[in-house]
Amino acid sequence: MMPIHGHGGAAPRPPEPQAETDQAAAFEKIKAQLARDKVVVYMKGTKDLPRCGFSRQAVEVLKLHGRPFAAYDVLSDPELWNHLDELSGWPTFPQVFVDGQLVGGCDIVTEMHETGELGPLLAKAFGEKT
Amino acid sequence: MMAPDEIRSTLEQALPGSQVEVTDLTGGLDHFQVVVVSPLFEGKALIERHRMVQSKLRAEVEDGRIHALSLRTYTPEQWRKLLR
Repeated sequence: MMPIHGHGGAAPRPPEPQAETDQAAAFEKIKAQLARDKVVVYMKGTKDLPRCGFSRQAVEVLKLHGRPFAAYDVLSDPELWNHLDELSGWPTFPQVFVDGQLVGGCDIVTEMHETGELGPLLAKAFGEKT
Repeated sequence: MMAPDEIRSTLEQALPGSQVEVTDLTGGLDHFQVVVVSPLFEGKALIERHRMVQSKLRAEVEDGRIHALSLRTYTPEQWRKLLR
């Protein structure tokens, strides 16, 4: 599934109240987050309490692979909500990154799990031979 | 809201040679499953394929006519193997 940004709303706008955020500062923060962990998920809600079925599914798929991953809640961070799509060029959440590269959203991660591509991609990120 | 046929013709025009199947998932005409089979996907990673399709529906997504899309993309060869 490809959840649209403002799930429940029409246009892809942040929820009210909108906080003003600085794009350059947000980009710096996101890049630091991507450098810190091999696998990073930007999602609605948290790993333990996803607030969107698509985010939940992406997390469940990643959990199946048993690799550590960082998850950031875009709903509670206006910088991420406002600027992640500008950096990634991906319009929706969740967004899954491996080794700093965007892999895709829920549909892609699920499909790569089903086709057996996800395991080797993660193994490679963690420096294992496949 | 959008008719599934509208999405199908939009994508078939924008991605020549593609076959598109659109299913209304909820009956609400805004949550869709879209399957695109296209020779244009040859040699392209899933993320590139999804970006190709997304970009053709950007206006519809941004103005809220489409709320959610489940997207599957195949080359003609992948599609044949899948049906086998």
